[in-house]
Amino acid sequence: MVTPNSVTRTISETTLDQYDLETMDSESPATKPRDLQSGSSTKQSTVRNVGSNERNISLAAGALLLLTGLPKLMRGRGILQTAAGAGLVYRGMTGSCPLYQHLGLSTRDAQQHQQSSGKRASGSSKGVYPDGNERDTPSSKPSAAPSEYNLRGIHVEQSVTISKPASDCYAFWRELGLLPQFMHHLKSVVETDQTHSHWVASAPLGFSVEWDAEIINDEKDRLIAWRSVGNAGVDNSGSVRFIDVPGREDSTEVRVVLDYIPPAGKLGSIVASLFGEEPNQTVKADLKRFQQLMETGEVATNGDGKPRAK
Amino acid sequence: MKALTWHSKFDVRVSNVDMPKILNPRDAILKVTSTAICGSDLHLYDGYIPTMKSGDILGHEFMGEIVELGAGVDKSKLAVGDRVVIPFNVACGSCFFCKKQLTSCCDNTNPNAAIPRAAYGSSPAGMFGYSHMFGGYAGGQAEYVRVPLADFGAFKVPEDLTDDQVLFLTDIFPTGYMAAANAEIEKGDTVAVWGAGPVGQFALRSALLLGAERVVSIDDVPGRLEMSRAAGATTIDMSKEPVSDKLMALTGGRGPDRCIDAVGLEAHGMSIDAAIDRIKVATFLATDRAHALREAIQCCRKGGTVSVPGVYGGVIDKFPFGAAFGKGLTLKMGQTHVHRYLPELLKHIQAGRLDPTFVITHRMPLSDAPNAYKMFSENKSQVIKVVLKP
Repeated sequence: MVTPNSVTRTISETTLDQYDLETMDSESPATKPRDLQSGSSTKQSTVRNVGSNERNISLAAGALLLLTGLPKLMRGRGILQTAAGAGLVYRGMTGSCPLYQHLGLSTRDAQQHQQSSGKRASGSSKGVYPDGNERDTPSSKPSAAPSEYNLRGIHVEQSVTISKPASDCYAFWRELGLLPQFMHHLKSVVETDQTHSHWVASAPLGFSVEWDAEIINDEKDRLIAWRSVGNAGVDNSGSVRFIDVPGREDSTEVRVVLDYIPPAGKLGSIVASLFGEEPNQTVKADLKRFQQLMETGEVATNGDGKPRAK
Repeated sequence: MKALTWHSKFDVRVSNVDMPKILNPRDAILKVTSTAICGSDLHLYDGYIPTMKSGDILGHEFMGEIVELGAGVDKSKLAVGDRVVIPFNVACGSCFFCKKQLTSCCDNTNPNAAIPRAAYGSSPAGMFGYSHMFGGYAGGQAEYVRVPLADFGAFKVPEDLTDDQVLFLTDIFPTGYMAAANAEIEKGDTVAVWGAGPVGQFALRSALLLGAERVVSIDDVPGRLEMSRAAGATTIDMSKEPVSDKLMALTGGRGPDRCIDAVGLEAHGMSIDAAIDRIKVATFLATDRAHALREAIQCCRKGGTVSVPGVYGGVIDKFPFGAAFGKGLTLKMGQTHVHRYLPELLKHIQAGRLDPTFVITHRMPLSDAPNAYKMFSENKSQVIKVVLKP
């Protein structure tokens, strides 16, 4: 039986203690986290999660720190500076940032994803892009237990009525790769098989938040339900229903229910910025854009109020 | 290109701006041949309308020639070279509201729908050149303008009608006409119209077209009252005599059957309620001044209709709802569903039943637009409708 205390203990065991920044060696026993669901341990991988521009900046800054720090080191000072410089150089050269990895962040650009092939963690977060490339994943941690959604989750419910048949609405939505057309916080969604997909959401300052998801319920023209799996940048689960409107032919109510758990700390505020102050407003705006796509074939735009006088 | 841009209260300028571009597949680019200044543009000029940004291009009454089409435009409906008038509201034709011909309520054309939704509960359709709350679309007091969803919006006009004859299909003619249609006019009716500006002028002429026995035009501007008399209206100068008494006298003690408030949120007036309005608006306790509307409700006969083409934006105070209820009035209102009326109105023009050119008092080049705004704002007697040529 899961009690609040046991959940709290388990969260701290798995999310905090499993990461030992000093020993990032993937074979080290200290870094094998426990998987809540299966009880098996999963390997940690080092992952390339730093964008190319940032890598260059890291390299340059690190080199500068090293160059000015080493002479100081000779005189017994400047240890921190040299260490920081070395760290930044490592980051710039390998494109891998342990701190980002710990937080589940990534500033990698889309092109890099396509070209890479990295180590894959076993467990539920595996996948191959349709173009045949493997992509590496953040290291595994178990996905959130249902009770965590109760304790810390944010619940969003919105609906919109669209003058199109439910089959049209379902067919568009079910092609998950099209979702970024109306969900503007999403950068990409890639379907890796019939039920699995990899999602990337974009946040300010070039950060992106990623997760794997699986479809747990799929009723044609009626319902799609999903949940994130594995080490999601943000644990989330939800559903979209397509409901015939009584008394109105060819009208469909599209009802979205979404639950997500804002992560703690820095990642939490980045996820918060994805959804803005009011997650309900964000989802409502997404649904309005979905309606525009379905009814007019395009998303309304004012070109940022341009042309205009400067 | 040149365009008329808003910068702050009482500050509009002709600026050099980028050309508009095709952004969406169903867009068109229109070369503007004629455009007009609307009375509601004066609300922008007077600083009444929120969510304006310095640099916004104004103008929602415009027509011209299609010069570029997006890849998704239905080519059976629109082609490069077509001469068209563009309704002032942007509408899609496919949503629940457009299908009911309520195009000013279109669900899909306000990219900033969240703003009016917060204030109103839902967002109306987007409009050209009328603040970011209503879409943030660049307006047509310019050489060129981007027209979204052009295959639904653009209305072709025949070559044998001049720009002057068809330009007002964009806004004021359908607005006055819808006001008269909303008034539910029956045979024998006396229709009282508050406001003798361009909308009031089209409303009273439309009322006569739709079968009114008599129209009464109420205002305090001599030049406007003269234009009303030219159409056969009886006039009341509200600065010289009490409106309510005069209306009762004209209708044998019953009150006008139908009342049209073609004044809207900037109502002036000498009464106590008008004075209170002014104070409240100045001190942010109210947003709209509703003197004309209150008077219309007071004067309307029992069981009559009060039709409101507007414009209203926010909230009003001291609304005589008891009077409206006690007399069993019908209130009909709304932003104009332009698309709905265009075919019918074009027929009226072609048949010579109404020649819209009567309303034009000034023709000026676009480069002179800032002067035109100033003139219009300061001299409503002589300046009724200004047509600008880019």
